[in-house]
Amino acid sequence: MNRKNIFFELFVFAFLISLSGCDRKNPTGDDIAKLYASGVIGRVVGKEAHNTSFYLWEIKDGDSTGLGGALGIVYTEEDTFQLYNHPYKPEYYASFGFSPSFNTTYNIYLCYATLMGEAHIITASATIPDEVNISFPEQYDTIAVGEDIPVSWLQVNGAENIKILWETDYPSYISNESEFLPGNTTSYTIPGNTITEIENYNIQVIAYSNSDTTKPGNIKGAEGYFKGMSGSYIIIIVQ
Amino acid sequence: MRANVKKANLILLLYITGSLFLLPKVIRAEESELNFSPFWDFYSNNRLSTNAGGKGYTGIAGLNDISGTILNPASLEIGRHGFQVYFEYVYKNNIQWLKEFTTDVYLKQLHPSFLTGFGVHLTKHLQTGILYYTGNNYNLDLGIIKISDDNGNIIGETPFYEKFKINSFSIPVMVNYKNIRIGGNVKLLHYTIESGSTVKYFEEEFKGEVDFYKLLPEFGVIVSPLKNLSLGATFLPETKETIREKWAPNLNGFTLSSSIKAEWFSPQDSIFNNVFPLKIGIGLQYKFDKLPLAFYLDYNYYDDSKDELLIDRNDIHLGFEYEANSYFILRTGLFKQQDCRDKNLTWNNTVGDYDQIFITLGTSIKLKDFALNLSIMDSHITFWGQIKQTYINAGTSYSF
Repeated sequence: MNRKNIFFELFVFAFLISLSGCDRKNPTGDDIAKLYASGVIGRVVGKEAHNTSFYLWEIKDGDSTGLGGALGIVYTEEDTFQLYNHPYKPEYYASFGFSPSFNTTYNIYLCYATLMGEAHIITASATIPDEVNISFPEQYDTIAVGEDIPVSWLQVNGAENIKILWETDYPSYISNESEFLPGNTTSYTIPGNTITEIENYNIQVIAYSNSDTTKPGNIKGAEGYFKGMSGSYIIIIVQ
Repeated sequence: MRANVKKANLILLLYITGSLFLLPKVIRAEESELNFSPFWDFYSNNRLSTNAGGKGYTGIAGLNDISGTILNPASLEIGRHGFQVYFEYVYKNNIQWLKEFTTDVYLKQLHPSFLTGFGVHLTKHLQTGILYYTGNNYNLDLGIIKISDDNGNIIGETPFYEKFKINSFSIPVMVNYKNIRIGGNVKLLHYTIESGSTVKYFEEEFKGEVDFYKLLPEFGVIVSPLKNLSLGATFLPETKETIREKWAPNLNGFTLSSSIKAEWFSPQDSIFNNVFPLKIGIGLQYKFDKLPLAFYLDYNYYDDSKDELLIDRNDIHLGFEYEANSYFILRTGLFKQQDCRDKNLTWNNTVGDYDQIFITLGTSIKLKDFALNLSIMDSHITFWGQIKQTYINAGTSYSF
């Protein structure tokens, strides 16, 4: 998984309060079969000076053959949504200046409309697990190239699965991730053979709810799923 | 003269034979390119033919200049002259689109929008010509779209648009015998869509293009059972088309990593199967005995339900034409344009909100062999519907 995909996995977000024109009728079975939606609502806490919150959603037609240029429309309580219409792929992303709370369930409402004005409602719910607290290593700890990195954290309430990410920034942009681990996992060892660059590494522990994408019922109005996510990161120095 | 008649008959035979081979099979589309949906006709149709526009956009049963052949090829009447040249231009207003969702999306006219034609009076019984016109077009201006980075920060913005256009070449042929006129059109339609944006963040231009031709026959007939009465009919068959949309990012020499290129900038073609529904029109013309006044009534049926989002469309047109003298003609009329969205689906507003009633006015001023035609079609002054449109057509012809 490359860097961009990891970020798309990381976050997503929205509330929908008012849907002008979108509240008259539930989508038909045919509508549901056409649309695919996925996303994450979550919050990442860093040990830098600032915390980070990202919210993003994605919606596209199921077979990626396009819906003729459609608009993803979302209304939020804060009304600060951004909409990104991919220039040529039938995928739509948006992020929101809203900071969700830990250990809270959110109902997500999207209104998706084609340029002809044909509208679809997509609803889902996702629970943000508790805050992730990384206990080891410490922020800005120093290790050697090729050295294993044991990572540990306190057990996260509400987590169905855990994933570990470790990546570098400019210039190498290396990115790695673990498999999904059981939700009660509290430690993981990053293999030393993946620590190849003399750079800073960003290590993230991400806790997911709704992470079992085979579960039905997480989303209505489209195929797909939404996840709840809570994350925390630290930076270590590789010498 | 006799040789000319034989030549003309041969042309007619070839024409009719060729048209029959063009008749398509009927297949319903499943996944279609929505820009080609007849839904957009309400705005994309440029309603060319100024004379028709003045009298409620009628013309199925009446006679007209070369421009009228786009309503019924049997209506072609160049008159006593041997040749006719014609040009007209149309203006239509911009309308705000999807205003329930956004404030900066507009349907705009895509210039140029015009019709030019050349007509020939070959024999007493045969007239023909050639036309080039932009029958349908629009620029769907999607406004400025903001681009955010992975952290949600706005890092750029880009205008986004979809430009749709049908350029048409048409060869109408009209044969008349006693009180019957039979006409046919062979149309070569050039369909194009250009979708694009300039993503300032990556300094890229994206161009999505659809470009294909369709050869299409159209048939028409006008019968005059009584001195004052004419009846007309037209038939445009259904066709289907497999459409390929090509996406071609223009990198402008900007260097990107291979992974970003692969994920964001790889050209991907999209394939669609579209149905272009049949259209049937019937019309009536009645000329009053004691007034230089003619009444027109047209009905157009569109089999739009072949598009799974739409229902069949039924539009009615009424028109009057008053020939004050040999130099001056006045026209007026009205017509209904139906909102053809399927009520069983969910839309941004109530089905019926796009119904429109147009009021029309028009005039022709004739000076010897020149004719200057003006018309306006407007739906602002009626109360129906949310969409308000204005078409202003100006055309001129010279017969010699």
